[in-house]
Amino acid sequence: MPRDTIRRLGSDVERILVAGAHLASADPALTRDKTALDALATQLGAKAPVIGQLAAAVGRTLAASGADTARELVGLATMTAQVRAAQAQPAPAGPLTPLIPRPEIGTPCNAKELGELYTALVETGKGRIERVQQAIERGDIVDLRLVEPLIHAMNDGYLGDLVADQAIPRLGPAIVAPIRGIIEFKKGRRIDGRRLRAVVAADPANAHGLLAQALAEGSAEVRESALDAIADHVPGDPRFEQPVQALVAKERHGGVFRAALRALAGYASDASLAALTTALDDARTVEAAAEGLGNSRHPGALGWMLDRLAVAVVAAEAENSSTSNTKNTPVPANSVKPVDLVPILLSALARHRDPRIAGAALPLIDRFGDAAAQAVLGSGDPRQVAAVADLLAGDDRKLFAVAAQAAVRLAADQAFKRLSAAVTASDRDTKTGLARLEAATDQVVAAETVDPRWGPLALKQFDAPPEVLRQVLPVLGRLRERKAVKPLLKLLPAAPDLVQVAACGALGAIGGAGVLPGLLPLLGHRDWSVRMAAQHAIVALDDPTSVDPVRTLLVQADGKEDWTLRHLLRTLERRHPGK
Amino acid sequence: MPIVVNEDLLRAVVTKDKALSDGRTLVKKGAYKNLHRLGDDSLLWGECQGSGANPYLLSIDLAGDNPVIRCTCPVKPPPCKHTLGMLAAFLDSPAQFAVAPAPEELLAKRSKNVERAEKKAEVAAKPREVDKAALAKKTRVQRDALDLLEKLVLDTTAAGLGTLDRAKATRLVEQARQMHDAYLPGAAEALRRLAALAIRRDEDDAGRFYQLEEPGHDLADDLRHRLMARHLYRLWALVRKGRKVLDEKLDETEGVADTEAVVEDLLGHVWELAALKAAGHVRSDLRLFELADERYSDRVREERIEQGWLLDLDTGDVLVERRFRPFAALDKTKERDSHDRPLAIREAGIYPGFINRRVRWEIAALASRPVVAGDFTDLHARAQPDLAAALARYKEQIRNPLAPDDAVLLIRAATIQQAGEALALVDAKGQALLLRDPPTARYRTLNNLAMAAGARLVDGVLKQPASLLVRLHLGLADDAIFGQPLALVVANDHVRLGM
Repeated sequence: MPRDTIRRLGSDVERILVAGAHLASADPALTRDKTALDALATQLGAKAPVIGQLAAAVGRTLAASGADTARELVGLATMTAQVRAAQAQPAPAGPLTPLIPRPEIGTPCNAKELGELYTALVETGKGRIERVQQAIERGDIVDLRLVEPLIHAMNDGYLGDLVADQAIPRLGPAIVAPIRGIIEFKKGRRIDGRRLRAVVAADPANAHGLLAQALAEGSAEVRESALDAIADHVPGDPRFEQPVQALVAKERHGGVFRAALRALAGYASDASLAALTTALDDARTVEAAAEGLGNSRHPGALGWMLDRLAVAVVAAEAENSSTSNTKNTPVPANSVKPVDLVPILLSALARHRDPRIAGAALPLIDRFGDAAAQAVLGSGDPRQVAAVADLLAGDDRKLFAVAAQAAVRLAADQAFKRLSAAVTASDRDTKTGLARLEAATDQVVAAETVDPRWGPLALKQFDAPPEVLRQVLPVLGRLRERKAVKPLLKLLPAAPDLVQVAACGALGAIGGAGVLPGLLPLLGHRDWSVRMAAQHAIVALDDPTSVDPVRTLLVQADGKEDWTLRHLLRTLERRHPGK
Repeated sequence: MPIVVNEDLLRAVVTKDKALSDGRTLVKKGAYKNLHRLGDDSLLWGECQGSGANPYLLSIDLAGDNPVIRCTCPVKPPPCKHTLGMLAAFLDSPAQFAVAPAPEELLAKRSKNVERAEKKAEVAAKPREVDKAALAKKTRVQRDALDLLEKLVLDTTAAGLGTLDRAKATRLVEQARQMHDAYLPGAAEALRRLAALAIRRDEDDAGRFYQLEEPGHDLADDLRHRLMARHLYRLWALVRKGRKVLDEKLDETEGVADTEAVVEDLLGHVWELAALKAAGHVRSDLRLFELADERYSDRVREERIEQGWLLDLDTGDVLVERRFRPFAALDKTKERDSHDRPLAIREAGIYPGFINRRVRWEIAALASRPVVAGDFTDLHARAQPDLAAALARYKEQIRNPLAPDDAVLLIRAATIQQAGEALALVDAKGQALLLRDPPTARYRTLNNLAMAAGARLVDGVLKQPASLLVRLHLGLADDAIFGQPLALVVANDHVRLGM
């Protein structure tokens, strides 16, 4: 077996190289190697002369003394390494199995961008989070070659959460295997919990084994993350109900216990509901229990909460009326005051859709305001939602936001009537009227679809006071109302700053010919917010012809460094290379 | 024929995107005056008004192999924003450059340049006229340094690699500096690598990413020592073969043999293109296809290394185009461009070496073109069809202790399969190569291949034709050969796996 003999010789020589050449002459293993090589040399003869040469080199090393030993040893080691290299064989591959089909991940990044992102992910320095955030927004982060650095960056205290929550899940099931292999369960730390959450988010359908292992063996951080992942990504998976209940029964770690309550929400069993209702009476767990009840799938959860709400309301009123008498009454540790419990329960009820909720919550709007209104909103009953929407006509500014939310859930006519009333209201330029208008237009802009009647209505507001107009203009942008371009461009040069900001946003969203020349002068505006709005609008136009005029402006800004223009030019050049 | 001003040229000369952007701004600003060109477009010149009272004088001579860019502004080295702006202006609108006779001064500079280039070529082509005294002096210094190196190797061997502690390693680094001063930068580098491996990473450094250090420094002691032993063998071979080469140099031997050129290279010889050409290390009309691009920081060399693995579409050789950017001059040296289009190189110098020879060309020799389906046909046809033949070539390389421990080859893959935690490339004959990231990898790619290949299966089998660019490497724990995947090509679909 020449190969085995030479490999043994190689190991012995390297051992002596590490320990020191002075040990070579007395080394029994080397002597054994010499004997074996001599035998092989005799056996193979001229077929393998190198064996004889090796045997001779070993002999010289064994016989050498003093400084010569090192010379002979390093010569022998070099020769052995050469022979070993010549005898090298491909590593045995073992049993082969077909590849697992994976979803495709592209390679959209060019080499330079890849390098920049790689550096941002694995090295320290300024601006890393912004660079990674931008890559996430552009979609460049979903690059096959960034998988390893992304996995590494999950370990980064600064970037870890961003990468785990926003980047890794975008890579889908393809990312699971490499992360899964490095999760530490028993001694897992926060980073392991982060990895676990990311893996489950990326491939919830195949996360059962991993989650089960995390619940059974994981450290507190890993268990907490596993429970969060169950609540967020596989709620109600029947395979986890028993382990989660078991955790609730015996868990002492506060974070894990609260996470278990959240996870219980997915289960419809009485036991799960009982665990949640019990936890509602403890100040340490009331929020988590309420969240669990809010999401609970138990058919009786809603009824129980309504009953508990009624009791809490009565108790809160009683408490209110007898505050002075009960001041010195001892309160059990960790108990929840009724007055605190009511808004918590209302928030939980807001997650359900049932007409009964409105009946219970409507009378509470006066005292518990937004929480009660939100609960009514959750009822789903159009009449009760309309009742909340009607609050938009009132004077309570704290309720305008929820009222506007309610309005957009109504039928188109109803919604338009209530929301548009905020635009035409006689008090629209007062503090209350503006708050109402802001709530209404915010909802219109954020809505998935916008009633086309908003176009003509908004177009009529160009003569309105500036505070009103700035609230209305975003609606025109949202509608991409072409008819608005002309009046917008007309008002742009002389309008107050706040209107200019809104007009820039609208023009950027609408786009089209003539918009760019109107925006360009504002890049030199004295007010920073207007300059930024114009800059964002020009970027939003996504027009390759915008590069040249911006460069022209930079040229005209001769003598001073205009960072707004320079930054804009760089952004546009990146978007439109070669321009 | 002058160098053609096109996007390829602009890309090739720009060192900073910002400089080009600023240059374009200057064009827009109308900062350029008196723009002229020769009738054959081989010379551009003009003036650019900068911040000072007098305009800068610019010229771009496109007559040679590389554009000669000159500007009187204080920014050095060129190209500055002024000259880039002028080039961009010419690319956009050559008509704004009036045809005129070239100023005497520029013509004089050009003729000096031509003279210099001709002289260089002549010198390179002629049998070397050696300044015997100078060479003897330099060679003696190198020989003395090799003697010192021998002593260092023997002392290290006598004491044992395991006894190399921080203090001894620091001394080795100092002695490496002496090697450098004695014109043996290659030996200096090998010593520094040995020293870098001798110092284990401290626990408090555990959070640092592996790329920042010498690969392998954090391995278990037995593997780290094996890696150190490999460096020791290389140093020993350098001592022995280096002496021979230096003696031959003194003998004024004509036409240095290839292997000796390799030793010279390892000793730290810096090749110039003209010298490569003169020594016959030159190829014409190369058709290259970049398969992979790698960029990493080499702390031992204190350089950023950027390299592209390029397939010669005619021979199937995998060449490497490598750029070294010293950390101290990162801002001043151009980042290597990655080529996503096939390249046609009129003439290129090919360094002496082993499987992956380094390739270099002048800017004027480069032209790129869009990818066509025929490129992929050629690519698959040039891939090594037989794993055994590829491995034989690799073994031939690693038998030489002076050769790199790894080699990059394009191999046809009948399929790629899972082999436990690793993957395996299987050739048409059913022979398998285990694919695994080396423990000294600058970056890992195995999982990237699993994902890329997993997305290109038909009924569980890799689509065909498929070829894999792999870095063959010798395992540290055993003498087994593994491959690290660098790029996968499936039909007309090219996926780069590393960075």
